Amino acid sequence: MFKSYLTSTLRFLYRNRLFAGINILGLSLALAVSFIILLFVVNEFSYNQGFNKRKQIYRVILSYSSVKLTQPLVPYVLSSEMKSRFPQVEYAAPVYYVRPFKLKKNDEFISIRRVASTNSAFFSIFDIPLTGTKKNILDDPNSIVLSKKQAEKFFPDENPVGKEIMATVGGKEQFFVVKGVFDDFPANSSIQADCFVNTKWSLDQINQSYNIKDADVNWDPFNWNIWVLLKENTDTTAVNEQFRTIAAKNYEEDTHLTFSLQSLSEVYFHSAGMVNDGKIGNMKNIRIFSAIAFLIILMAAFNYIILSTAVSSGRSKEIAIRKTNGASVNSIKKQMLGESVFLTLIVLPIAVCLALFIRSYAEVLFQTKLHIIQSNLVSYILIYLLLTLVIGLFSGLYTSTYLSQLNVIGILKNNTFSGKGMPVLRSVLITVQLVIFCSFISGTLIVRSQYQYALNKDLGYQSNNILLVDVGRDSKDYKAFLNSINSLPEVKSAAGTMIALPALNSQILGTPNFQDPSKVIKMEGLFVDYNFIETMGIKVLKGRSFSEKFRSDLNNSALINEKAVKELGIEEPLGKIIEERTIIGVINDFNLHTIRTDIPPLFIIMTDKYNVQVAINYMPGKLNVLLPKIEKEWKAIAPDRPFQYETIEDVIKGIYESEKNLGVIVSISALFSLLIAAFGLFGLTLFVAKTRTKEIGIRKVFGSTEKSIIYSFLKENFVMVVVASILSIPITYYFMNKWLSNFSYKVSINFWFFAVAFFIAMLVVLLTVLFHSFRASHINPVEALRDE
Amino acid sequence: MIKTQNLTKIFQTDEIETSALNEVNFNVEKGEFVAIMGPSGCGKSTLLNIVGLLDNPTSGSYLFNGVDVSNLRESQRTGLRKGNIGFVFQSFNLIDELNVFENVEMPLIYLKMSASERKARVEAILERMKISHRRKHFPRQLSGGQQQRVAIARAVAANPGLILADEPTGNLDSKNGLEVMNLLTELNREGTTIVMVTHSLHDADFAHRIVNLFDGQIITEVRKQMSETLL
Repeated sequence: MFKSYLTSTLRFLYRNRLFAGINILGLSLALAVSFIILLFVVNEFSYNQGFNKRKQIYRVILSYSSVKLTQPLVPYVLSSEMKSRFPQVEYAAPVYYVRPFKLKKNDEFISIRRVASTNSAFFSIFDIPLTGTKKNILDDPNSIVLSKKQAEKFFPDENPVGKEIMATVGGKEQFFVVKGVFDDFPANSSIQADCFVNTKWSLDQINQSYNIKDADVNWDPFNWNIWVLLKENTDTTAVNEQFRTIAAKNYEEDTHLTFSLQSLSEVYFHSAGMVNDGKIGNMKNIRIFSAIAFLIILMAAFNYIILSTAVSSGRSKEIAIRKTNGASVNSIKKQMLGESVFLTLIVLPIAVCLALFIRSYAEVLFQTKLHIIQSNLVSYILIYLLLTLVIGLFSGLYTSTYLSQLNVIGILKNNTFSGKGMPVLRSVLITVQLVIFCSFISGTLIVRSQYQYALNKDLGYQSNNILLVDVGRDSKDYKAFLNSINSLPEVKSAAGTMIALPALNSQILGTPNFQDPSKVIKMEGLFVDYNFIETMGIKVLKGRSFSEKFRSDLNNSALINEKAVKELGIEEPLGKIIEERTIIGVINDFNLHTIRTDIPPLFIIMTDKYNVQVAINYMPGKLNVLLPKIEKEWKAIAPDRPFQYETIEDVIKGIYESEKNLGVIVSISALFSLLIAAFGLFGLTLFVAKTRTKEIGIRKVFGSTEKSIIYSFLKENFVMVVVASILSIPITYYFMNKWLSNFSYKVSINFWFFAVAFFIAMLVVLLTVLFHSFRASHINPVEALRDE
Repeated sequence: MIKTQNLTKIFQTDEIETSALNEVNFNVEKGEFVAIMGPSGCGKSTLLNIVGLLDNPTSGSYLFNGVDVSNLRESQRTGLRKGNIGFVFQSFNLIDELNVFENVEMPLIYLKMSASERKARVEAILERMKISHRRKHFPRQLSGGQQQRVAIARAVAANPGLILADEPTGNLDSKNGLEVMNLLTELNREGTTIVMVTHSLHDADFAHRIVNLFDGQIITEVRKQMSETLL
């Protein structure tokens, strides 16, 4: 029986090649898009699932309840405390990424980006495959454990274990001994490293930065991630209780500081707002992309239903004959469902190939690599197969139910089948497709509008003709560099800062309100050099800015912004003391971070040690001339350090890259939905034109003009577009309003977004339908009636 | 074999009620060849559809081989029809996507016959219908007469006791029409009961009995040899 069905199916598809082709095309496009999205989603959800002991692995996080800040960076000493005093802890490993770090190959020192400084316990926590003796592998201060990739790079075709390698760390050359080689961390791991070195190197670096000698026992530097392996079935509430004791012992009560554990499974999706060295996931994006995939698949499924029910008149005779000859309703249903599933299974390999083809483009859109992760292969295959089968079943369900219940008699007698209720169903499905399309179009316009707004909004500081140069932590280089470029004629002014604007992060401090000291105001802090305020075009509204005429400004003065004045409840800010510094001026409010967040109360003080970036305000149009000069100055000062710079325009664009990409993704979704809807409408109109041949012939005999025939085709579709446009308004409004609520500063949703969507939909539908309606209107009535 | 009593069929749309059959008493003995005649719209096809278990009457009873089948559900009618009743239509009603062999094989598939048995039976029938040289051809590649021979082959493939033919020569020329009627007669001689709807007196003459319908009622019944008119 299956062979008979298959034969019948294949021949039917061949006879109706156009419809089959349209269906296959639409389905394969939709499946390809959904496969890409599912690849992304599966990879996201598989983060950190590769570690065998993942349920026992935690990292320590720190919360400041007074300012609602949480971070994964804690003191080094906590790891030894936990190992010795927490009976629940099997292993504890502090991790800090040492920068800069280079390894020597031949005569060249090559920068290594991810050098994790930790202890041997790390390899007992994270069970990555490792050659070399795991126990005590990093105990020796000069031990180094390389990733496979690095091992192949620096020791091609040989076993590096036991061999020496030269490195530069902290500006000094140092020999290391390779103690092991580990398998590269998979792409879906929050932990990433190119190599591991002993904790000595992180302690040295922190000691130097903070000008201390006891980073290993000091409770103040919060610079390490601490990973722990707890014993099985540990109750973490007991651990948290012990944390409270430690915090009480080592910190003042008014710091409101709490340590706690975050499980490895939560790290990827529940670390938003924390300072993380690795990538973090965004559940919102996953939901958006999954919704887009679902809508596109739905449209393709609707297309299948529309086209196959339209073509069902050709099947009705076959079904009636089968029923007459003994086929039951169930066997007809099975046949139709089987056909639908078969069609989608034909599409599966086409969709997979298409998905692989578009993967590299999708990586740009998703702003992430879409790896095909070996450990996820089974998941990919099962999910793709399941999705394909579900689509086949869903698409075929209506058609099979309807066709299996056909009344045999009328069909066999008349040899035609019009299908009561079919035109209504088709119109409903096409309208739903158009609603989805209109929603994508208006959504795209809103996202793009918000993106343009983000790029062009007045941020309260100069957001063009500013160059940002990365000078690193060496303050000696900074001063020399600043002096040299200030003398360049194209430079209006230049100054250093710890964090350039727009700031991706900042320092946080809590300050009591002046009116109500029990209320602690979360302020954000900036460390800047002289002239930074002027260089960035920030206005001083009251008092003065930092000035070299007042050397005490370096250690004693501060600036605050208007928001800080308001939030702190200060009536006359000049001369007031905050954090042991005197307020010398009030500056205008500006968007410190992005337009996603409100303008915070700001506290700006000076630094001469942490000017990591230099902002250069240059003459408009002079960048091409200026850049080589600045590079030359830099190379003269720091010849072994790369010249790294960005324009402020590029930084701003980069910040809103996700909005830009979302706009592109929604546009492409609109395009796909357009293609799928157009395919369906094209095929359907062709079919309708064919079935209306006799009617058109008769109408023409009795005097109908070609224009009125074309109009009859367009009228129905016009109504659908109008209805769809209206229905899409509340849907788009709801979702876009929700998305826009992520921004403190945003565009308003205007009527014209929906008007444009309407016109585009109308244009597309008209063009799609016009071709066939034009041809139909030119039918020769003699031919048309002769065929009947 | 077939016995109807006060068989009535009323078709109802939103506004119109049409009485297609009006208390029809219609009997057919096993091995008979009965022709049903009458003007268009008199209820011939409706009677044939009910007899063929493609439809249920509005009222009255229908006994098929002694079993009351008047109010069966579709699945029950399908089950009863399978293997017991074969159909031959005016417009042949072959499946365009299947070739000759596959069309004839189809009812045997629904009887869940094994592949080897089906092959043997179909080949024998095609041989008998003198159409086996066209087994791989599709309906569009056959003449009208050949298509009807395939349709008859399909109708008898499952060895049904009853064949219902709805104007089987309606779309054929006289030569092919005669061929089809000879085939039906031959089948009847072998024991198959045949009920045929026809407009053609020539075709009706092949039957043992002619039943005349008018406005949903049996007006006359004429036995071929007895020439007795029954009211």
